[in-house]
Amino acid sequence: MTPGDRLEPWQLLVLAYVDGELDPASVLDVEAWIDARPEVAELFRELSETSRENKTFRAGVDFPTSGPVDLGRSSEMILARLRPAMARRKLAWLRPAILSGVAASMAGMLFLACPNDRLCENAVQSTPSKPVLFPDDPLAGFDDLPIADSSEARVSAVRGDISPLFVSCDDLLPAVLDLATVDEMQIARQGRNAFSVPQPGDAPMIYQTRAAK
Amino acid sequence: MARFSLGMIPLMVCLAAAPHSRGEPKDAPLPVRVTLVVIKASESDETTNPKLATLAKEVRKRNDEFVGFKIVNTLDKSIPLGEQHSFDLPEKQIATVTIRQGMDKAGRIELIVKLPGLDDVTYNCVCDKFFPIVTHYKLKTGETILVAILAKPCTGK
Repeated sequence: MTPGDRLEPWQLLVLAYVDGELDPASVLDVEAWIDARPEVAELFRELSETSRENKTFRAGVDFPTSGPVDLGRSSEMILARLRPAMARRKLAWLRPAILSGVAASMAGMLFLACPNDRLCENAVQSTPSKPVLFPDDPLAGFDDLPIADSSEARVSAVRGDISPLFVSCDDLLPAVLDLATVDEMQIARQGRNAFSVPQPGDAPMIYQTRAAK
Repeated sequence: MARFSLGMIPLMVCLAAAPHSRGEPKDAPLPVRVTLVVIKASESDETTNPKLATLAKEVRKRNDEFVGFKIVNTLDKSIPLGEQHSFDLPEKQIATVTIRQGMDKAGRIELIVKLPGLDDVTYNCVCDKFFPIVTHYKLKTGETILVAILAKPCTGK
């Protein structure tokens, strides 16, 4: 890693760990990643060697070596714990780091708890720079969901009278349904159905309110 | 000159064959976009969708006991010439629409429509105008089902 490299969020979190900026609960999270993922452990070693502030961090600490990482700590809880430090040091990168860290925790849990599971295989194959929360996540490729405009989408069905509330695409229907006149249509075959034109000028229609006889 | 003419023959053959090698001919008939509006007419609920004002007025000329008209569904489907499509109606009923003839010189499209409880209806109609069909099928809630059908050539818009 060189100074010019752009750090991934999870790497920033490990860096924060090395710098002693995490609270005890977050420390445990990161330490669990270090034990579960060789890539994280390697980064930790690399950062430790270059940091003068972490000499006593792991001294005397009995890191967990097995068992699932506790995912009950949500990212918001971690952020809440770290909010004072964030305000003090303007660690704007910490939120994505925490989110990525949770993802790494889940990957670590999968690795430790169910090595034979298919999900585990996917998680193990993933690189730490792109933690896999859900291997088949259809939204994985989107930073921001692209929304189709009215020229790119067409409604094929609209439910009932809620259509006036349907604002995403053009309404299928005109303001008023314009009916064909007698001059504008012609019945070729009507079977036993009743073709109805009460008076000249009225709109023609099939009007069969009883079973055809 | 002779060499030029002989050399041009393969090119001319290719150019002549090109339009036929693109699959459908240039003047292939467009599919027809059918819009089928499923409507329920009530004899007790006086609520009428404003879009159905004209239709409601015409139906009441036949039966003034219908006091309210609501849109149940608006279905839209592009159907190739000669093919049919089944539209889902309430209570698992089906409306089948077949495109019998594309738009003719008079600007009309001919359809065959099959609705629950009715015989097949074959009719042609101008584009952008709805043709209503009142069935005698009543929903479990008591309303009568009718449909308004519009057909027009698909323009891709």
